[in-house]
Amino acid sequence: MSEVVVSVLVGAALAVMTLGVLGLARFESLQLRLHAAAKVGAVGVVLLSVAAAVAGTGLRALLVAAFVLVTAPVASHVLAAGGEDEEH
Amino acid sequence: VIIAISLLVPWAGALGVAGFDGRRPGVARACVLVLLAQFVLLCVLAAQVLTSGPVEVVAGDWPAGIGIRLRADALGVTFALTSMLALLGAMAFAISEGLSLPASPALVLALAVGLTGLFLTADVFSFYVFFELSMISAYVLASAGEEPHHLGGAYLFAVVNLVGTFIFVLGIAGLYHLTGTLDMDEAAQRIAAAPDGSLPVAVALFVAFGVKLGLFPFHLWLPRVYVGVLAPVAAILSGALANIGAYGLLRFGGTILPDALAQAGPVLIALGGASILYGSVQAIARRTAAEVLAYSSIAQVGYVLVVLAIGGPIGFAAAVLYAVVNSLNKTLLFLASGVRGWLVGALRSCSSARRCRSSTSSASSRRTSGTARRTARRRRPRRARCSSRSRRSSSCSACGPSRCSTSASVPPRRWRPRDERPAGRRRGPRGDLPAPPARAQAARRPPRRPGGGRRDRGGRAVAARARRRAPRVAARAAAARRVGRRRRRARDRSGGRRRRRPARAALAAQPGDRRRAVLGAGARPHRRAADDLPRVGARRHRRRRAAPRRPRRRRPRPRARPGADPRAARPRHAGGGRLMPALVFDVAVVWTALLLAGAVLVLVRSPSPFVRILAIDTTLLLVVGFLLLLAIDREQAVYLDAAIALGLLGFATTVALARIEREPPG
Repeated sequence: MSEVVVSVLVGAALAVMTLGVLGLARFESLQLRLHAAAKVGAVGVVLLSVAAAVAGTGLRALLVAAFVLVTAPVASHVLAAGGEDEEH
Repeated sequence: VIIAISLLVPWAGALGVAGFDGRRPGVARACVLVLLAQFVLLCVLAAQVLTSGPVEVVAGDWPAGIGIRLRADALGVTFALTSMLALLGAMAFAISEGLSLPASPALVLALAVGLTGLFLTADVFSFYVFFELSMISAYVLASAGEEPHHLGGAYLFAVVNLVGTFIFVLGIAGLYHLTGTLDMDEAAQRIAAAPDGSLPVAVALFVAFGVKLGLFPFHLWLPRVYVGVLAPVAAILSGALANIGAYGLLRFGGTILPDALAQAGPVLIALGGASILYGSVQAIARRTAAEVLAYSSIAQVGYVLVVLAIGGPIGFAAAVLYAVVNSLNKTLLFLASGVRGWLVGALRSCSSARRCRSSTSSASSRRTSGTARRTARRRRPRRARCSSRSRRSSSCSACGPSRCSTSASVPPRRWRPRDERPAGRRRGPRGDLPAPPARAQAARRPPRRPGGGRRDRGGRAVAARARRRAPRVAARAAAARRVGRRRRRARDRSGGRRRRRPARAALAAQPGDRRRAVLGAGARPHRRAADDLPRVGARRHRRRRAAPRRPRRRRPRPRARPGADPRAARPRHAGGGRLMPALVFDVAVVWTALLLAGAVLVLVRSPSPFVRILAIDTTLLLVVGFLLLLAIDREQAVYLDAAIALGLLGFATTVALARIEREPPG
């Protein structure tokens, strides 16, 4: 059972990460790229760490998720603030 | 005997120097010589203490307990040496910069007396006396400087520290009430014998020294003061005076009131942790060197407090070491922040800024408030540089607008509008954030550089005020507007160019041409990417003006596809008939590797620096994901630790790179 859950979670995470990287590569402006790339961290890594928690590595995996959820928006914000002069 | 001499030397020096005008270099050099002699004396004393144990002297043949008892032990000598070193450095720096306060050499020497006595006394009351002596000289010293914000910083410093000193006197009174003695050793013994009621005393002393150090709940004065005063004064305050707090905590907490210290351990650790977090976060969020240093000193003090609360011989040793290192560090850093404009070769602009200070700055800094006033000192040289550069470039018509958009004149320009914005919006990224509506409009209008014109509400009014303020400022503003207009025009032109370029890129078949086209795609008038290459490209593309607009920015697509398409990888690893998670793991690992390759490709090929930073960030996150996959497969938590560490590293990298890219150092 948990194997199925883990597989589904990992698959979902990889799908989202793929979309994120594709967006990072293909979108035109920095803002759009940020929008896409933020998914890699906020959804992809978090789903993976939930999968790790389900797979039995315990709460420490959720710590990774919490950490990414805290830092990823800040990093995106700093990048967006820094690149606001770029073309839109 | 050496203890007494080490007090007498700076004292005599202070008296001797006080009669002369301290702005004369000779007097300042004499002060440095006295400090040097003092330092050597303390070194001798330290050697004596370290080889043969603490040295004690009771002044004036009085019986112990009545006469002033001086005692040099390792702790006191260490702090005394550190403080002298900080004073020496600050004074030497002040000489090279030119002193602005006639009394400063004498004050520095008085401070040296106070600090030496304070660290070398064995008596609580003489501790207080020396404490006051050094604080009073520090109050006056802090007011050095010619501008209102210098005085404002000194005023705040004096008020807060007077309150702290008052609380300290209350603590001493409580100690005397408890023990009936003012001798440190005896007080310690009596408290150890009857520890009841020592907690309020300990709290009072802790608050007093916490105020001195700028610990978390008592930190509010510290950034404003450290940013407000001159750089050498800030170095003295953070390098020499903050030692009082650390020494006081160690001496009173560690030796006189160890029980209370042990009782309060968890609270102290919590406060120290709060200091660390608060100071670090604030330091990251600040823009000017002085602000960053001020907040980081709050954080550093938190470390001292935490190790002190951990206690034991190791804890105390760590606290001493950390306090000493931090004090020397902060001295150097504050001095370096003062020297910054000088090292980047803006010597002439700095001196001209100093000359025009009296005419423009007093008016402008009185008008501005809050942060601006605090940071005005850092910005003024930059502004001066900006004005001279822009004036030069506008007078030189041969340069053309492209020269104006290169990195040379941009950093000052980025500073300028923030400096003159209304008070609430002056603070870096947060101040810039409310811009989106304006940006939405700007998308329809011809684009505008943020530094070129005034972006905020009532830009005209601001400009008019600037014109009223002083002719020099107005001339600068006019020059900036001129450059801004030219830049906008240049941008319009380059915008047209940019629309044309992708056509060129689409036409390009040769790899060499493609490379040039990619470089050209980055050739918006971005401040650093666009130097010379874009202009070359522009001239070449002028013929193709009629090319269609549609295929804009096609470039990344073919690059990313081979790396990022998962389907290419899947069939290869689908066979094998393994268990489901193992299969998932294999596929996922390969998939992640391909995603990584895609992100790295974006990193390599992207024209914009911020997109490159974003690609770095994404790459690191993908590696974190990779580690998580490994953790799932191996069921080992080590990979999770590595993932957290890498995530932290990636976060710090992203933030640091973005900030450096936004405001190039220097």
